[in-house]
Amino acid sequence: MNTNKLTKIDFNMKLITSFLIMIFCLIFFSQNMMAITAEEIINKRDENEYIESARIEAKMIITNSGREMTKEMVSISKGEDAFVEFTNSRDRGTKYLKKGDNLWMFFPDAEDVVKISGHMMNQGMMGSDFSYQDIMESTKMTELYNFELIGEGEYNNRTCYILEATAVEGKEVSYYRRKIWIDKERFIALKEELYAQSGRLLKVSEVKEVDEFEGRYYPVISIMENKLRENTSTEFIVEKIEFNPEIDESIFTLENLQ
Amino acid sequence: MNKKLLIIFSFLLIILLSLTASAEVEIGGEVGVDSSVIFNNNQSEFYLTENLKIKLFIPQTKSAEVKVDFELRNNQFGTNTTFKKLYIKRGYNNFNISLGRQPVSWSFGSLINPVDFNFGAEIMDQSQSAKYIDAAKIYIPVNWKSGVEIVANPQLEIIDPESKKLNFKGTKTGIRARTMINNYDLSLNYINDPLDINRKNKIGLSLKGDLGPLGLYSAVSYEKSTKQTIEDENIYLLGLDYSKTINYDQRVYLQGEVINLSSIKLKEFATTLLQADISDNLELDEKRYNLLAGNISYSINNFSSVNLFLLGNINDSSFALTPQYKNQLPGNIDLTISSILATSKNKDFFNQENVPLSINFNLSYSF
Repeated sequence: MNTNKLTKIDFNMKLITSFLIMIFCLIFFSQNMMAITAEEIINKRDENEYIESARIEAKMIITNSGREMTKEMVSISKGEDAFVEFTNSRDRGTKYLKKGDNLWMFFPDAEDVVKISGHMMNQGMMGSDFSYQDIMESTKMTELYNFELIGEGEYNNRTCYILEATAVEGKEVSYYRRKIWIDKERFIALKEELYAQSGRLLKVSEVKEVDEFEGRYYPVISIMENKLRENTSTEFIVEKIEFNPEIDESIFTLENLQ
Repeated sequence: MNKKLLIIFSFLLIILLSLTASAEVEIGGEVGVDSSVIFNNNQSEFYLTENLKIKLFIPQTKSAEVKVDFELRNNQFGTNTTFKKLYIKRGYNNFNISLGRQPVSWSFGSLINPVDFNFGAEIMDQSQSAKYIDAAKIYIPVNWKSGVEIVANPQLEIIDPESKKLNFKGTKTGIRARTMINNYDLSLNYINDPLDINRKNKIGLSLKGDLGPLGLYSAVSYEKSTKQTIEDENIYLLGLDYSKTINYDQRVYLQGEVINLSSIKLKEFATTLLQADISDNLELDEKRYNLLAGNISYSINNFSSVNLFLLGNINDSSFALTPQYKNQLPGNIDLTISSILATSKNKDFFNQENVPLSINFNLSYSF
């Protein structure tokens, strides 16, 4: 082979190798640049699901071995404050006021306003599988849990990020560990498995319907299933929601509770 | 409540309703049947009571609301109608005022409340008739967590049962100031009762908050005597409550309190609780007594629970127990089965003569 031909082959080889290296680098760096962290996923979820302020009309349907109990409520929340009034016939007029870490209850028959002890926050609200903390909690998940992206999967034909959340030490939470399926496109938690510190599965929360509100996605029907008892669940249905309405501070007062 | 006042309020209601004719008045309430068997002196007595509770949900105007709540009870002794609420409430910029028959109780979460407007208005989570009074009540909010409540309750006496002629005997007044400091709910109460010839003036202080994982509450009451021969009265109360989830799922709630009071106040309390003067059945030799009140509640599931209420006299170790089972049946019907048992046969405070054994069944439907 003459020298010119050898030089040409050598040059072509170098060109191809350089090209391949360049392609490889492009793929490698672009993947890293596009890789999303667990914190980013949760922050995007909070953009949808975390409520700064809202007015919600909702219904809870509590089911146990075929028996059903329905609670209807109106909830107004702003920051750390929340006001809930029950409107179904059995509990009509029962109200709760949460200000910071304090909770008061209004008993409509006696017209008494009583401060509820702190230990009750983890107990079921009005007999449901949702605790007072679940219903009235205002803290962002990132402040209560450490998150880790453990993979991807599918739930109800939707591709999801799968995250594991473990409670931050010292924080009071209802569930020590959570496994969360977050919709990759809409950044809504479609499913959550809730675990005790012992590792026992306590509850599973599944979102059945998601609606869009001015570019923001929000779960409007979700079911919390109690895994410790057969055929026991609470369905939470958001019938009406208004994000960031004008809310008078006088709503969050003991006077308004009476 | 006398007929004239009832007629006046009915007119006011009609006027208000006609002003809001286009608005919807909703009716809610409860229908129930209560059956009891009381075992007394080797005999059993059976009682059956039907009751109907009606609540009118009248739409509020911008600054006024009307509350109407009454109850009809029918048993072998006749039919009785009681208005629990029949009042008008009007809000102004800096206060609101309510006039008419209304509940007045200065509750702070205790089972027995020694600093209430009417002592014994609420006992063991049950409202007593003493709670619902004809009064004018003004509430003045100070900030979101503080306010002052002023109550004026005219005291009327029937001087002629036939004509139902009334005599005005004076006005019982009370002031309650309430606030929260360091997450503790605090209230300071003052009552002036012109009908109490021995102790017209009463001051009370209550507190409720958290002590670690426990709920803590306390109250102190002081009644100043108007005569040198009559002693001042003090009542002290200390209580705790706690809840726990067992096996991740089953919930238990515990509440207990001790009340220290004199024999005179104990008789007054017993008369209110048992709706009868049982002074002759009691041997109250000691000057001061310690009552114990408690409640244990266990949730079987979302629809049913068992409770055990306890009320006892520590001095003579006599107790009355009320076990209770509650279940919400299909069709929105509530079943409550309860019993009352006294532990002593002697002339102790909670003896079987004062508190005969009884079993009670109640079915009710809310609408």
